[in-house]
Amino acid sequence: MNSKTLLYVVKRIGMAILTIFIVVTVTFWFMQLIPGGPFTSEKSVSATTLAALKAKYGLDKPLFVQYLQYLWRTITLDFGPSMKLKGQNVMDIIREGMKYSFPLGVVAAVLAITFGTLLGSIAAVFHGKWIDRLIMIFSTAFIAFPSFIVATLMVYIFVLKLGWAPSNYVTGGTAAFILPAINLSFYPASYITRLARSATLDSLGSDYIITARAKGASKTRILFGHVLKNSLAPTISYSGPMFAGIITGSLVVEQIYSVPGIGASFVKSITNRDYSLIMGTTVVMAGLVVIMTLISDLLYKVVNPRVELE
Amino acid sequence: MKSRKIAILTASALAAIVLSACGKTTKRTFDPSTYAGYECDLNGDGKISDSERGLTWAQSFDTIINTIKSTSDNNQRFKLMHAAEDELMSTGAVTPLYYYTDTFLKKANLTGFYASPLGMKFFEESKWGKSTEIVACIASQPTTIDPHKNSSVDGGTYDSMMFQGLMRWTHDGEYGKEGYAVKVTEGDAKSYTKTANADGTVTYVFTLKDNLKWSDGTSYDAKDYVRSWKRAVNSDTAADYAYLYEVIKGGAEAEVGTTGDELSVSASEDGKTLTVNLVSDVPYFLELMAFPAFYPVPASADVDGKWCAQGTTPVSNGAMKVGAYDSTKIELVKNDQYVDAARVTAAKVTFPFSDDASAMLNSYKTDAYALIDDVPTAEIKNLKASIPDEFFNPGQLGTYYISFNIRSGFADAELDTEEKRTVYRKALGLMVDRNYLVDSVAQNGADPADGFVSKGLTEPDGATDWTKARKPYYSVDPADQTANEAKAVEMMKSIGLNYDESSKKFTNAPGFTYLYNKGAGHQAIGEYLQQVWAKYGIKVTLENQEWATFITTRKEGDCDVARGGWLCDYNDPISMLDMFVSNSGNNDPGFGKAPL
Repeated sequence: MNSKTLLYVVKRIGMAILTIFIVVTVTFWFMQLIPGGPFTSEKSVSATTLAALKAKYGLDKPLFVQYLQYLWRTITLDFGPSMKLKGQNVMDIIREGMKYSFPLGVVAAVLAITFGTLLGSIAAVFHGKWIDRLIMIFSTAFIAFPSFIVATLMVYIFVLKLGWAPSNYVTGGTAAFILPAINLSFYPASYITRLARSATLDSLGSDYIITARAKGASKTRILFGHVLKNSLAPTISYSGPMFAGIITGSLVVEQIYSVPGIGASFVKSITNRDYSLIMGTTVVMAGLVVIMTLISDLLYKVVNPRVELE
Repeated sequence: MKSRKIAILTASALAAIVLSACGKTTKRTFDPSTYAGYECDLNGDGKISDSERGLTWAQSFDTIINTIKSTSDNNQRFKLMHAAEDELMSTGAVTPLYYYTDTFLKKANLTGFYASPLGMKFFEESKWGKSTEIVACIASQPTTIDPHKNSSVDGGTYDSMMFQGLMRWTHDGEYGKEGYAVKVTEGDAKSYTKTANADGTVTYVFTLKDNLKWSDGTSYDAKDYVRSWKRAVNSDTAADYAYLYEVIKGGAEAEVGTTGDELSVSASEDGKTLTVNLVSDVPYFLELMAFPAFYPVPASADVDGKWCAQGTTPVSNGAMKVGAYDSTKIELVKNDQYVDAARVTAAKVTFPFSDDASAMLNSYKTDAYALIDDVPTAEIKNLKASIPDEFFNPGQLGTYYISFNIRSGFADAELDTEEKRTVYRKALGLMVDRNYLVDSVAQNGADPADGFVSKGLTEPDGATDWTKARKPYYSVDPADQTANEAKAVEMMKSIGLNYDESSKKFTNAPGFTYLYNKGAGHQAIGEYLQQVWAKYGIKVTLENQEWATFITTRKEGDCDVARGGWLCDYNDPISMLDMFVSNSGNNDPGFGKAPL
C-alpha cells in the first residue's frame, strides 16, 4: 500500500466516523419526535410502574444527558439492555439476528455476483441474439417483481406443492435457508447482469480489445483475460452497498420464509419504540454500509489501477 | 395613512388569533369532570331512585366500582356490575362491535390439549399421534418469559407450563368434544381454607404439598412464595401486572414500595403453610393463584429478568422446564422434579417463533406444526369449510368496540348539550350491522356484541353467561337491523338534525374523524363504518396511525372517535369495567376527566 492509498484510507475512516456521528445524532433526536415510547401499550401500566421503568432505563434523565450516553454507547459498541425484550442486551439481539442474516446475505451475494457477471457477459457476447434478449427479459422481470411475490410463489411451488424444501428453520434445519438465499439473490443478480452486460459491451468495443483481436488472441483469452476484469468494475462498486442492503433489508423475505434474522429487529425496534435497539441497529447498519462501501472502493482500485483515489 | 393601515392589519390579525383561540375553547367547553347527567343504580336494587340521578361520573361510576371492589357478597357484586355496565352503555360513548375470538388450527391427532378461559394453552398432557414430541407455533418471541414481568398470552402459555402456582388449570374430556371443561384445581397447594373475617376481610390458608422441588432438584416451600410475591409486586421489578396484588392487604402500598414487605402474606416457620389476607372476598382469587403473576420464582430471579432471558435455561417448578431458548424457538422438556409429574405425557414441546400467519399456515399444512395460534384472515372461510375438525374459534374474554372521545367536541357546534350528543352516539351505533361486519368485513367468525362486558364471563352460578343474564342493549338479530336503522333515524331527528326525506340523508349531522391503527382488519372495519354512516349523510374521515402513535393519540384524547379493544386480565367482569373510572389510564372516552 503506498502512502497515497494509506492517506486515502485514513481520510475515509475519518469520514466514516463523522457519518456515524451524524447518523446517531439525527436518529436520536428524530426518535424523540415520534409519539409514544417503549412502555406504551394498549393497557396502560400504573404510574408507579411507569416511573420505575423509566428510571430503570434512564429515560427519566434530561434528553441531552441521554444523548451523550448514546454517543458513549456508540463508541464502546455497548447499547445496553433492550427496553422491550427484558433482560437482553441490544448487542446480543443484533448478534443473534446476524447469525442467520449474515450467512444468508453472503450466500445471496455470492450467487448474485457469480450469476450476474456470468449472465451479463453472456448477454454482451451474444449481443442482439435471442439469448441476450432472454437474459434481459428475466433480469428486467426480477428487478420489477417485488420480492414478496417471488417468495410467495416459491414457497407455494417448492414447499407446499413439491415438498422439496422445509417450511421453517426450527423443524427443517439449515435446508430452510436455501430458498430465501436464492430469493434474496434475484434482485441484485438481475441488477448486476445489466451492469456487467453494458460494461462488457463497452470493453468489447474499446481500442485495446480491437488491438488484442488484431494480434490474433483467441476469443476465450480476450474474454477472460481482458474483458471480464474491466466489466467487473461497476459490479464491485455496486456490491459493497448491495451486501449491506441484503443482510439488513431482507425483512419481507425473512418473514415469508420464517428466517429469524436481523430484518425484523429493524422494523420492530421502531414500532416498539425500543430506543436502545433503534440506536443499536442504526449504528450497525450505518457501520456496515460505510465499511462495505470503503472495501468496494478499494477493490475498485485494485481491478482498475487507472482510478485515482482522492 | 400607511401606519394606520398597518395598525388595522395588526389589529385584525390579533382579532383573528383571539377569535380562532375562542373558537377552539368554545369547541371544548364541555367538562366531563363536572357534568352531572349520569344515573346509576348504586345499591343494585334494580331501580333508579332520585338520589341516583343527576350524578357526576365520579359520584356514580367511580363510586359503584369502589363498592364492587369492597363487596364480599358475590350475588350483590354481580348486580352492581350489571348496573355499572348499564351506566357505561347509557353514555353511548362505548359502542361494542363484537366479542373477540381466538382462532387457531389444531391437528385432530393432537390429544390431551386444553386451554384456560384467558386463552393460555397447555400441552403437557398432550400427544401428537403416538409421538410425545409436539411442535406448536403460538406467536413471535415474547418480550419476556419471566412469569412476573410477562403480560402477553403467549408468554403466559410458556410460563403456565414451566411454572406452577398454588392452583393450576385442569380439564375434563377432549378439547372441542362433548364433555370438555376446564377448572382450577390444587397445584402446589394440597388444600386450603378460607375464613371470612368480621371486618369484611378474608383469610386464605394454603397447606402446601410435600416434596416441592425446583427443576434443579432443590426444595422450596411457602417461604419461597412469600419471597416471590414480594418480588412480583415491588416497584423495582416494575411488573405490568403488579396491580393484581391489590386484592391482597397491603398490595397497593407494596406496589409503590421497593421491598414488597407491605404485602400481607406470611409463611409458617416450617414452610408448610402460606397465609394470605385479602381486602375483601375476591371471587376470582383462586383463579389468580393459577395466573403467572403469582407463580413462585427461584431465588436467582433478578429484577431485570436476565435470569430467564434468551440463551438461558431458567430453573422452574412446573410440568416442563426450558430445554433450549433462542431467538428462533423455545423448547420445553419434561421436568422430572415436578410434584405432579405423573400427569405429564409430553417429553418435549417446541414453540417456533413467528408472527406471520401465512408462514405459520404453510408449516401447518406441511405437518411441521401440530397447532398454530394465528390464521390469515383471508383464509378463515376456506379453512373453516375444508378442515372443520381442525378449525377452532372459541370466544375470548374481550370486546372490540368504537370509543367516542366525549372531550373532543366534534358534535358541539350542531348539538349543544351532552344529552343530545349521547343520543347521536347511540344512533350511530344502531346503524352498524354487526352481523355483516363479522361475516363479511372482519370475516373472523366472531359474535356480534350487544353489550360491552364480554360473552364468556359467567354469573355467580358458574353456568349462566353474563350476556344471557341481562337484556341486550340493542338487538343484534339480523332480522332487526332495518328496525334499528329506522330507530336511529328517528333518534337523530328528535335531537333536531335535519333529515332530507328525498335523499334519505341528514344534511347537518356532525362529521368526525375515525382513528384506527394500521392493519388490514382495522382498516376494513373503518371503511365499512365510514360507508354505513355516509349512507345517512354523515361525513367520516378515516385516519390510520402506526401502533404506538395510535395508542398515544387515543390515550391523550387527541381524536374524535377511535377503534378500541379490550381483553380481560382475569376471569371477572370487573376487569372490563374498572378501566373506565375517572382516573384510569385506559379511560379513553374521557369519562369524568377534565376538559382537554
